[in-house]
Amino acid sequence: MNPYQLLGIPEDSEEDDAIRNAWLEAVRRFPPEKAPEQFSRIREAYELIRDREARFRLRTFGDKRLRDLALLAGFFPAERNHAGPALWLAVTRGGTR
Amino acid sequence: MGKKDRKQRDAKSVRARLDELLAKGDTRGAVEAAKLLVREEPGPASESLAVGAYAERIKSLIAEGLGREAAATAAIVRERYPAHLDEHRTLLENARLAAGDLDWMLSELRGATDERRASIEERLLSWISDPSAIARSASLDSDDPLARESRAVAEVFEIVTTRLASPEEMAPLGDIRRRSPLAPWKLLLRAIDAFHRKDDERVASNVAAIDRSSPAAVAGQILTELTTGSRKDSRSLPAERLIDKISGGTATIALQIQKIEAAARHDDKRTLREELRSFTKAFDKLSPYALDQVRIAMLPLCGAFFTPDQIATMFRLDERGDGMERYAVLLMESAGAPFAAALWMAHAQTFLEDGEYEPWQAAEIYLHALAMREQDDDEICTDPSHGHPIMEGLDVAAAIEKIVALNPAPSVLARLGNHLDHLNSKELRRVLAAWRKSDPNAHEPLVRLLQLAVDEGRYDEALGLIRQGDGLKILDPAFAKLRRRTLFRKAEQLLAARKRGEAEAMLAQIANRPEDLGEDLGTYLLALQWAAAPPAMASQLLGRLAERGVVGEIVVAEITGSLGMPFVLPVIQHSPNELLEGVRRSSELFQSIDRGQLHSLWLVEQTEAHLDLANEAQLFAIGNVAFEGLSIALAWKVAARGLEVGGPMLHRFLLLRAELLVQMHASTKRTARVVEAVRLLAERALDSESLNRALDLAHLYWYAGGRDRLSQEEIAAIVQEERMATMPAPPVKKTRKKAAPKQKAPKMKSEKGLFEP
Repeated sequence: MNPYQLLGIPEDSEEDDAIRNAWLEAVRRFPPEKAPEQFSRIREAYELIRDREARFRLRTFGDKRLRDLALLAGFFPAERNHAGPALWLAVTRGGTR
Repeated sequence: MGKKDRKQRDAKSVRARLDELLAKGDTRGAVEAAKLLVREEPGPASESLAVGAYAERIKSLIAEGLGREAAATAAIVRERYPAHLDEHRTLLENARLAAGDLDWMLSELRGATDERRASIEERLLSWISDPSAIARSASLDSDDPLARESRAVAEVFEIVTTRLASPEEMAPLGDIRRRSPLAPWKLLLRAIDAFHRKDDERVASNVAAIDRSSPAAVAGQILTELTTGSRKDSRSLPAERLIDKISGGTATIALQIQKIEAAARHDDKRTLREELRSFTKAFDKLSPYALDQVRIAMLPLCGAFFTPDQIATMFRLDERGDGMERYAVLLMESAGAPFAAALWMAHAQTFLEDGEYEPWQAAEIYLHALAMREQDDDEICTDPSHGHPIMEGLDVAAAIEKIVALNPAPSVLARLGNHLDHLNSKELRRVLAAWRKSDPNAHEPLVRLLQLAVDEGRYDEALGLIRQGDGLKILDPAFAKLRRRTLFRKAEQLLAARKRGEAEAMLAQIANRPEDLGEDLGTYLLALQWAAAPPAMASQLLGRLAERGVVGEIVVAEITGSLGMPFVLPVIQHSPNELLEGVRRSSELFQSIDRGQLHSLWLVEQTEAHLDLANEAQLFAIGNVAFEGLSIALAWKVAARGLEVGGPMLHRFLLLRAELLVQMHASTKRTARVVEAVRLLAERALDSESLNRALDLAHLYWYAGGRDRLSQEEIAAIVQEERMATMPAPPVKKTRKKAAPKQKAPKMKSEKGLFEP
């Protein structure tokens, strides 16, 4: 889980207020009663970067949960972006090469 | 040898070479060899071999997806070897189809019989790599079923690869015939739609139904890889690009981490080493934050296989900034290396001095170094000889003082809590003073200073801290308990010093907070008030104390005993239940103010005849008072009775027995086994207080082999043995603590208070 990505803010965000606003916005989108799982992930993300001390700890010592390699693989969530027709056609035209 | 002979021999060797190249799959080389052969030995035989080589080349190009190159090669064959066209007609046509030239075949659909249409469409199925090409083709009538289907597929294809499609937008796919060459595309589009809707089951069912000979099947394979995490050994470049685009460039990385994890799990060092090396090549795809997290997470594994220099190269660490050194210390920490905490401290100090870190950043690193002790203690330490090498060289007090100086923010100081327990009282006092100076309104340092003062019996200092705490309106229950303890103990101290006025003032302070007192503390207060009372009031207060039953008697026994007064209450014969419950309640009362109970043992010993009627809590209270007052025989019987009851407090009674065995210098082996059984039972009961005490005792007996993990049966046997065991004879001349003299019930002499003449 990349907390910055999850809250939709740049990785170099340093403004506590901006981070808090992004968190509040995310909470509005995923309220605990409707989306408890997302809410809990958002909350965890916010705790990781909520103030300068937390951000410094995260960057200096790393996210301890990621020391478990199974969780580290999950750090890269399988995104499902729409790739557009051209890349798909390149595959169907490309044969086995 | 003549020129002709030489030519014949050369042609023979070229033929052999051509066969060899074809066998190896080198079709390009085979074509070159064939050209040479035709030049050297023109004739139908050479031409036939050459056309064969070209045919293999065309097949290979088609298979590689190089349709245009295949078509161009086919054109050469048509031009140079027209006599061989019939022989390879289908292959040459396939080359055109592979190049996307479908028009000539589509035009045959005009007016074709059903049978012919089925045959053409069956052949087309393998060559439709872009349905929009058919939709655009002028060779088809616009109302031809294939034209209609291709338009529908092209339209939906555009949508599902760009955004989520609505059911209405997907609906036209329903009109595509089951036997249409576009049927595999219909399935692919449904699979893509399901993929973006995260309906992996539907992805799998649609992909499984796609005809393997359709180009749509290649795209279906991508969906399978994305949804199952499986991976083909070699992907085509377009496939890599597509997967990267869809997964945001991270699918490959996740896959690689999974492989590393699997190799580590199976202890497959060779694969692990290779995968780690190959994984670092993917770093370019990561954002700076993700890259840093991945590096830190991978550090422990890399540390096991590569030298620090190799890691620095693999991780592409920049020598500037804190990167190199930080990773080096992280590596030491992950390996649990001695002095790792001290290395963090040195790192913070250096970078602070160099201006790389701000003071608050250095404070965070110090806090991290301190927290490493807890990381090390994650597993309950059962080995008494176990130290904390990782913490070697770390001066905890100095680190805490530095943190206080570097970043005295309340949020930072509040995180010091657990670390303070590792300081001696002198260090603690110094650190707490600094903390209070930085944050005068903080509750925690004041409560901790109060605890120190009370523990050390410095009640005047404690009273000053209580006044300050009341000013801060501290609501912490620990503060309330310390206040109670201080006021009661100070009042008793003043009474012992015959300072009646001051004692009365102190008691009035206690009485002003009735919410802090329960019924039994009220009895204790009443007894102190009686002791301090002028003669006129003493009798009345004593009358009220007499109404408080066993608790009143025990409290009066304690106060008269400690103040050197005679016991003044009439001795009443209580029922066994009153006696047992009274002892339990008074034990709880004295515990609540951390006061020992040494002067009422003669009353407590009256319970000995009724132990079989006592519940676990009553037994436990009697056992504690008896052990504290060194009434060993009673404590022994209580422990035996508790073990017999065998309830949820079993481990506590076994702990009492262990304490008695220690006290009596029983056999070390027996004591060590009992202690180990207590440890295991306390661990199971989640009783940290008993567990800590058992671990303390285990440290005393570590040499006796008590560390062997006992089985459930062995624990049961130990409990049974201790339950039945008779008390050993007390040791001779080895008394560690002077036993309190055996007390007898003092006779009532007077009803006068302490200050009565």
